[in-house]
Amino acid sequence: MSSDHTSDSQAFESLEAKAYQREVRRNLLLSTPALIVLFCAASGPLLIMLVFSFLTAGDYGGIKWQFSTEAWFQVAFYKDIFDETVTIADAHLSIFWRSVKLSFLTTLVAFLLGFPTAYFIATRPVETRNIWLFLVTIPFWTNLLIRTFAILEIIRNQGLVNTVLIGLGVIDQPLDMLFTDIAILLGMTYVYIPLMILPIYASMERLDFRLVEAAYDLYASRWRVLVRVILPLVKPGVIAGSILVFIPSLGAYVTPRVLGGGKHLMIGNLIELQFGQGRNWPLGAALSLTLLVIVMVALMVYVRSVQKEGAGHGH
Amino acid sequence: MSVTVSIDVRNVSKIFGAGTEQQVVALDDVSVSIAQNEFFTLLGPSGCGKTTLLRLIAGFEHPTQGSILLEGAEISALPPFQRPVNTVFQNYALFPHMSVSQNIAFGLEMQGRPNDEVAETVHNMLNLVKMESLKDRRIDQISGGQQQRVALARALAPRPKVLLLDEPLSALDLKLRKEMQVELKRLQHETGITFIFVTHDQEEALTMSDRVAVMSEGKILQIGAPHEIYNRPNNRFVADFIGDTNFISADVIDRQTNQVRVRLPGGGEITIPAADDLPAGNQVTLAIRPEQTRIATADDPVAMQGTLADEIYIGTDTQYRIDIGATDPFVVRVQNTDGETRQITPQSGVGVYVDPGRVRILKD
Amino acid sequence: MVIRPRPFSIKRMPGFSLLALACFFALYMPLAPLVVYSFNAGNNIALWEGLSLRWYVAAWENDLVQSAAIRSVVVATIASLIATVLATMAALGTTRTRPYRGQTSIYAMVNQPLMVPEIVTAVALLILFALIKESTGYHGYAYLVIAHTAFCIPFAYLPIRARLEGMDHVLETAAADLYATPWRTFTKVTLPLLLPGILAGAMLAFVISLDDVVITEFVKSAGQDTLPTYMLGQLRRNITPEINAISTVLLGVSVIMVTVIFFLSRKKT
Repeated sequence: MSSDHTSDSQAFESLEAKAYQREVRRNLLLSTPALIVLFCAASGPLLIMLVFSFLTAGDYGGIKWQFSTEAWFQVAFYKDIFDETVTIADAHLSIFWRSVKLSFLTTLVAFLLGFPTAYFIATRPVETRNIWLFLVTIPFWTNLLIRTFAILEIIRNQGLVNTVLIGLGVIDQPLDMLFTDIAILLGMTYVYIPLMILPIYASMERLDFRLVEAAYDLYASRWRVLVRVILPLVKPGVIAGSILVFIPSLGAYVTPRVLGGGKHLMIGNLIELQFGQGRNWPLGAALSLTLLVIVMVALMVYVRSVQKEGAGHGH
Repeated sequence: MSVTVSIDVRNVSKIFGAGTEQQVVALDDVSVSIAQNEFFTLLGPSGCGKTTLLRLIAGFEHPTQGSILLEGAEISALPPFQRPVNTVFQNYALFPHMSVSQNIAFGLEMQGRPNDEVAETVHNMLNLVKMESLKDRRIDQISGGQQQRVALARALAPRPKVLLLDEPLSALDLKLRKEMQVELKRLQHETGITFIFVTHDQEEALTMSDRVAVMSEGKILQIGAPHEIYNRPNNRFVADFIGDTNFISADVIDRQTNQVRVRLPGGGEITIPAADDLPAGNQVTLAIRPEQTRIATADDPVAMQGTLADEIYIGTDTQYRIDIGATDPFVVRVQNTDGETRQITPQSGVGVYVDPGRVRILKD
Repeated sequence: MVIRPRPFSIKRMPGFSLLALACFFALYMPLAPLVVYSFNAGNNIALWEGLSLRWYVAAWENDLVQSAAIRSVVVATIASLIATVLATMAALGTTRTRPYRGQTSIYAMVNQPLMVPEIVTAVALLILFALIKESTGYHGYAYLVIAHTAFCIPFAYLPIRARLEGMDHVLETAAADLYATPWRTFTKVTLPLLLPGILAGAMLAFVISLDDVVITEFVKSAGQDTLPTYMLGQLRRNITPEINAISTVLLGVSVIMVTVIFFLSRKKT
């Protein structure tokens, strides 16, 4: 028997620990290059933007290296140059309101259309499901600009919709749909609806239809089954889809720019303005951070609700 | 002739999550010496630590305490690719992106053997496991039994000092399994490589092994040749796990140096030849195999008297379940030789004959 | 004639199939006039004047379109290649491994571009690069490439990670058992089996980079248009069927790539 039994055991306890440490070191080393790039071109710049939001606007754009909270003030308030009265910046607030309103409506419409679509795909025979999913995925991966442009094409005065409606005699004059809030809503819904369909489908696919069977067996009507059995069971997917639509809608830039003309601005356009005509970079930075905060809050709400779901179902 | 030791496991413990609340003691101070050219089996229920021990020998885990020696040299710190030990995995773990031949050649290529040697060895291995005609097939194109043979060939090709087999036959159907048991035994003899075999099937262990180690809850309970384990189990777990056993509580009447007289339930008394180290006390637990007893004939001394509860015909044998006043019925198993049909009326009085020499006193 | 009532199907929700099919129609319908009008012989993007490839030719011969297209492809290729390599490494470092401190933070940071609205990143990069441009005077491609690489990483990472998670560790254990050093285990077992995931990730990153509008628009210097930013500019000024032609081509490229990715990602049983 080995007399140095205890030192053996110590040696081997640290054998395991050493192996683990080696593994962790390897993992960190492997992840570092990606993290460096991401820090330089994704996370790090956010910090610089934070700094910029506390600087003074330069005369011709850019900044002056001078501390100021002016930009943050200007996010929500307006100080009259002449009589120094402080009022709420109506223009900004109406833009915020439009953004929130349109994002919310987009999410709603996407849900109303997307939910039945996800349901439809989930109830197809297994072999064909992939094809339907594929059909949903393709528009999703086509260029955002192209899809927005496509909407532009069909809702303009000489576009498809108007031509068909006039041809059918429903209206005599073309409807002015372009450059309105409706146009933006249409565009955003069109662009983001696959993001609603796919997560809901993921939840639906896991739905045990025997539960639906049981509900029908217990005298539930179709509506009741939908509302009290199916919807609660696919709630995680619905919430995920809603977040996936709401957040990009909130930060939309291209779609409101193309379909809203210069007049129906959303937060994204307002931000861009500060770097163009507005020549108020710090304000642009502050507005961006405000948007970021709103998005982070929405994300946290999502994460919280997912955790509650998990806890509630006793997983 | 001295027996050369192949694998020497010395006081090995393995604790997963050591120091945390959820720590699991997979192996508890386990020691065993496995000889060269031996077919050695680790037998036990799931969770007993047999697979953990195998993985420690292979190098996939480090022992928390203790050491493992291969032919005298300490290997606990060696990574698996530096140990001349190969494994046949439970689900074969064949490389899906390689053909049968490429799988078999893999270990040889990693060892840096020259191409013609690799080709020749692969050819020999294919013949050994009779897979020559399927050598270019991809893994998903061959059956489970064929995959098993490829896994075997792949592990044997690099001529390891020790071959580890982790329940390799568990996924096969009964007939195939029985064939492979014979195959494996033959292979071990032919190659002379030490086989360490892990299984939960006690019949398999008894069939194939030179020696068996019965494990439970991280400890080795008994090591011995199959007949030794079967006929002389030294504790209750081993007696219960291997084959069928009747457990009887008996009162000690008289102790002497090499025998013990006990009173059995049902009143009879027998004198059991026993070794010295008997447990103290007035009661002992006896282990009696059903096939080592019989219904008492007119000439037999009746060890126990009881009533027949059940008579079960199993083709080769008949099983009699006799109520002797204990919690469990006493089982007697008798081979059905031609022409002899003992019809016993149910519920009638029945005497059981027990050969004192075939009774084991358990040390539990 | 007796009309047999439809048997009760528990899966049928009235109106859902109709809505779903309407949705599919709505998804593809707007693309139709887009594509059709790219073949319009006339100038007007609304009046059909006959079949012609003139706009494709015009786009092809347009210097600006050419340079923008080349720039798009070059940036997308470089960015997706670098992003895929980095994402593969990151995936190997965060998947199928014993949990360690910082693992979730790494995962969050790798996926950060997916959670932050593009406009925010675009503005932040604009500011950062403006600072760098001021101090170094460098106005080249590198800004575009690094910006694209960064947001391509999560798109490459996710399919690779998914594929890696589906791989059974035991294969690498078997390779080690058979004398393969960790490096050879990686090259001979892990990498070949991971390849479909890596390819899918690379193609996804390529498509994402090719399609990017917002970040590119903010980060580019004058004259550094990619195809999408060129089109955005045209939408502001002068809409001709040339845009339709370019759009149709990009559409075709996206469809082909997505189809290939789709087949690569199918689980091989």
